[in-house]
Amino acid sequence: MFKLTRARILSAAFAAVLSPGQLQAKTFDIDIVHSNIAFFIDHLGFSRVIGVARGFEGTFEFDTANPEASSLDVKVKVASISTNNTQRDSDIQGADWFNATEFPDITFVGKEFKTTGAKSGTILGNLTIAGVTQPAVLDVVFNKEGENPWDKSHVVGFSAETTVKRSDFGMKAALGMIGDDVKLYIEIEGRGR
Amino acid sequence: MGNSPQDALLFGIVSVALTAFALTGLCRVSRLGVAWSGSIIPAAFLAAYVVAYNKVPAFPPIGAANKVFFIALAGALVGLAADLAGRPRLAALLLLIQPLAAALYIGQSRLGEAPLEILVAAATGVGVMILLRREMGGTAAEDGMKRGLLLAIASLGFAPIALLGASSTSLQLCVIFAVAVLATLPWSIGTEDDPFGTSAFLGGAGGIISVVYAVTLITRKSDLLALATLGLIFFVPEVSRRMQWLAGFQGRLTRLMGFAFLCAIPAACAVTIAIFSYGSSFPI
Repeated sequence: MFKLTRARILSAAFAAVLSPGQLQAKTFDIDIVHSNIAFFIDHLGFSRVIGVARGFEGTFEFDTANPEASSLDVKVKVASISTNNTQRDSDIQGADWFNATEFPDITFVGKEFKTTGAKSGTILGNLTIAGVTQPAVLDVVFNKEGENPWDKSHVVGFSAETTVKRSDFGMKAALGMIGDDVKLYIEIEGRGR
Repeated sequence: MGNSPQDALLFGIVSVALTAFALTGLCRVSRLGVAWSGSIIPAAFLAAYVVAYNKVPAFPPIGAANKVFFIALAGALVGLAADLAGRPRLAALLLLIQPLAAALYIGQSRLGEAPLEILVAAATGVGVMILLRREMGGTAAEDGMKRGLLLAIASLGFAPIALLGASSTSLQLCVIFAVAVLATLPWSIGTEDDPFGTSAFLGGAGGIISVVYAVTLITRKSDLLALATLGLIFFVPEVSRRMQWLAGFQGRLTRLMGFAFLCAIPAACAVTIAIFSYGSSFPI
């Protein structure tokens, strides 16, 4: 009972901070021009190779008054993943790794949205890579919601990060040389419909 | 597993080859029969897969690379059963069915968009099996050893084509498997037992054919000219049968070395083509 009450208070507080008053629940399309997905993976302990996804799309619903009722659905084109080396990109898009031919999209579908602070929260969702679905938790920071001064569109922006293990998705080759942990950094701007 | 990729590959090569050598010897010494000793080759393929991919894939398999493991496993078991049951006609039929079934299974996701590619791959796989099964001009044991040599050299030839065709894991698998196959052959030099039973066809050759399917049909970045050149290796038995000087060599070992030399020619040409047609730097 106490937990439930506390959750409601936190939710209301979060909503109060987020809500400038006139804003309502809205469906947003990811603005790919101002959004980025990058991943970092250890290379022999010397450095972290950085990869980016150049092609992705998605929508989310974000209700400032009730952020826990949000939704999120994102698709990343495997063929758009780049690590700044053609041979390596071909390899990771091939049948041994992400398998772009059989599984052209990496998807994330949000299932559970929780607030953890005034401007932060978590999204528990299903991450599907190469046909394998595993739960993943995104740590999300709400940045800003308001009007884009250029085109007067309604925009909301978030930063998110998480760490997944590639071995959980059946990619176990070269463990120990290429890291198992893959750190994901996501910057998202959504444009209201 | 080693501190570098080279160490890991070397560890895989040595461990699988030594195990294959020891198990083949054990089969020979304990007179288990050709059906069981012939299963060492597909077992080596499965071991090479586990070492290269660092996993036994979950069943049912998701994706082409995981399917390869179960195609080889099924081939090994069915081949062993056919040999133990003494059903050569069934075995011959299985050799024709397996590459076709494997092409359809691996290329499943592309059947709608590229049925012709799947068909060509399946036909090539069946052709490879037919050529590999034909008599090679020697005794059953010598022909079996030639098949082992041919398969090992073809795998070694395919390894760099796979690497440059965007499958570094297939490179490891092919090299580990090839050396393991070579490691089983010394035990056959002094015997008349055929080391290349139906399970070696279905689980060993069938496994490598499935790897080629995965790289060409799914990853789709392999050099087809290099692959076609490598395919000439399966005509070497026909060519060598017509070479009187090779058949005239005294001693099985000498004839086998001559045969291996001939097999190495298309393999070396294929690798050369792949390397020359490759244009960008490779990240090590």
